[in-house]
Amino acid sequence: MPPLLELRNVKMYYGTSRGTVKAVDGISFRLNKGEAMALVGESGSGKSSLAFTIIRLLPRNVAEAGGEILFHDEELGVVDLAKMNEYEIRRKIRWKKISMVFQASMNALNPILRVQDQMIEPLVLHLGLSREEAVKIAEEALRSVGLAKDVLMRYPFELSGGMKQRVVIAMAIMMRPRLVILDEPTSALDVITQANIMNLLKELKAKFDLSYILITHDIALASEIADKIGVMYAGKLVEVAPADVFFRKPKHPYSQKLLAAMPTLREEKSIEYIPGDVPSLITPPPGCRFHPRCPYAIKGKCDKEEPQTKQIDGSEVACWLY
Amino acid sequence: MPLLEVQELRTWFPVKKGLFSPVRYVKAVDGVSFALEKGEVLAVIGESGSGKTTLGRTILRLVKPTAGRIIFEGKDVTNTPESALRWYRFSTAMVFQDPFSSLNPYHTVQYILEEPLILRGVPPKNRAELVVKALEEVRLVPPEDFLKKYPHMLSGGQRQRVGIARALITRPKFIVADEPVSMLDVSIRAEILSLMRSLQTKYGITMMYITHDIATAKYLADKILVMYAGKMVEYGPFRDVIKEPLHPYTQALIEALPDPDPTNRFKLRKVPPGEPPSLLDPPAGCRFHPRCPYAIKGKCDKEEPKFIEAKKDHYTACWLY
Ligand SMILES: Nc1ncnc2c1ncn2[C@@H]1O[C@H](COP(=O)(O)OP(=O)(O)OP(=O)(O)O)[C@@H](O)[C@H]1O
Ligand SMILES: Nc1ncnc2c1ncn2[C@@H]1O[C@H](COP(=O)(O)OP(=O)(O)OP(=O)(O)O)[C@@H](O)[C@H]1O
Ligand code: SF4
Ligand code: SF4
Ligand SMILES: [Mg+2]
Ligand SMILES: [Mg+2]
Repeated sequence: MPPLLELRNVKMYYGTSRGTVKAVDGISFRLNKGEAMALVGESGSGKSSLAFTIIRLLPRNVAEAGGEILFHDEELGVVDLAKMNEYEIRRKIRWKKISMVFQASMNALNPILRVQDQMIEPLVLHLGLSREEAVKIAEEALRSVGLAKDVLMRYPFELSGGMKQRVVIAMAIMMRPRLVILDEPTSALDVITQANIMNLLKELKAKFDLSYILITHDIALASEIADKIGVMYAGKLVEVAPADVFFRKPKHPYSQKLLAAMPTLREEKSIEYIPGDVPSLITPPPGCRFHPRCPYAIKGKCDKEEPQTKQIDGSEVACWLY
Repeated sequence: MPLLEVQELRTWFPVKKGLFSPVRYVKAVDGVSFALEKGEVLAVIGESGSGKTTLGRTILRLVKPTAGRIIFEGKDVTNTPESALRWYRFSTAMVFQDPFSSLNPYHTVQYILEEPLILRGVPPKNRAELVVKALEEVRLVPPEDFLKKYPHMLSGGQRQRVGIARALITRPKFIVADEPVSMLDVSIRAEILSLMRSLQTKYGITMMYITHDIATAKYLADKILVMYAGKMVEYGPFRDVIKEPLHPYTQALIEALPDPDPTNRFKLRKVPPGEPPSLLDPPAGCRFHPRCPYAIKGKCDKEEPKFIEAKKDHYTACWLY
């Protein structure tokens, strides 16, 4: 069976006055139906940019975009999202097949609109549903995220942070999409609320057979839901590994460092840090982009030639050590 | 004698809805007591709005306490007027959560670090020396590369290191670090934590480390104080509390926090539903009772649990003990 989503050498560069920002630079991976993948990486590594590229919400200042984004669906067959125009994406893909919970989106709810109006707007406007149909769908979606239907009549300021995040999640699942992209869905929430939201995401995944792409810089949080982990560094995907392999034996030196930097509560370990800074995406280092910070960098090689992705016992790694 | 002793501290903020409606209070800190020996680090843990920052600011006398006592080096500073508080200001400092807004954007790193020294009347020659040394200590090297920079020219981690350098440059005895790493990337967090740990040990600084993330506290704290809706619910040696949390709220906080583990995805976390109450109108009895899985009807919702020593040095306020 073909994967639900397959990216082949996907690129997306921003044009800025200071130069071209290579935010997504040749990314390839596959995501199966019902699978959850976490995308982890430091701030500015291009995680959100990749998400916008997949769901085709590209800003005006895109300088270059390329590659294939193949989406497989029983109804549509295999389509290349990168080749579809905005009209087709709106009609056929967004909300219905792929939806997204945006970074900090609970704070982006319009403060002067009732929850109901925000929820039904895309359904009425882009999908051509009647108001009555749309309200029914919104009600049903609220129920599946554990909110009573009277929330529809409330304004965002009348809701707690956790409730707002549930509304945003309800919107993402209301058209029963196959894939939901979650960009830092809990980062503004308290730990107990975060745990409640992660529980909800697990339940929804099982109930609606959803696939997820979870974007986070918190590897512990990634392990709450991810069947596999993708590690981004400076616009590149440096490792994709099944969760069971990744947490026991991360292969890329950057993945190893990220795990070693993670404070843990139960396990006794000292934390290490990654010296140096995230490189510029305008003039990224030549060769392997991690080489200036890598303790294993091979002189004359890592700083010159870019490592290609290799398959090693179930993981895909781009590093000259393998 | 402890360096700092806090007794039954309360900070209530008056709020008035209409002109003729009675004044009500946001009881942000409502009866907190603890003591710190020199060199001890206390982690203050709790959800957003539980009163952590207000507690820290009240102890530093940046907010006026409503009731209770703050005793520093044996001297009561609770109500000391500002004019007689200079020595206390010079003995204490604060590191802020947001390295982006806590540094004046119009000042160079050099001036940001010099300012507290100027206030204390340190002569210019010594100031330059101290600034260079402070930059070296927070590993912003070579210092010359940073002196003339403005905050916006630094990364988040570098800014936070400037914030730490500024707090430590006057060699305070006590600092309040308010979520100093929560806005930083995980990779940088580890570096800042280890930096704070090493400077704290080197200078024997007594510290209050405010955070909502118990995992980072583990790398600094000797003791822990857990707050819920303005009340302290548990207090004791860090490791004892983590190993055997007594209060159902502390248990929930720990249960909620994942460690990286691929088997996490197969289980649901047993956490209470809901969110903390409004501090204007907190629940009667135990403030946690509407969310508590063990709440005893007719008791927890009526009477406030007393703070008791349930185990040696390990205190909690819960009717289960
Ligand atoms: N519209 C834009 N124009 C120009 N550059 C942009 C734009 N949006 C993002 N960038 C840059 O692209 C890079 C990747 O940003 P992106 O937001 O994708 O990172 P991220 O991994 O999601 O980071 P974070 O964890 O902070 O959310 C950054 O250097 C960012 O400054
Ligand atoms: N100056 C003030 N006037 C009125 N209310 C205040 C004031 N400062 C804080 N509060 C209120 O006191 C309560 C406790 O706030 P505080 O900032 O101390 O919590 P916190 O535990 O630090 O939260 P966070 O984790 O979000 O930083 C909140 O309800 C807050 O709105
Ligand atoms: S390719 Fe070289 S520099 Fe890059 S991660 Fe591997 S060893 Fe390190
Ligand atoms: S006092 Fe009662 S409601 Fe409060 S934490 Fe203890 S058992 Fe729960
Ligand atoms: Mg992002
Ligand atoms: Mg605070």
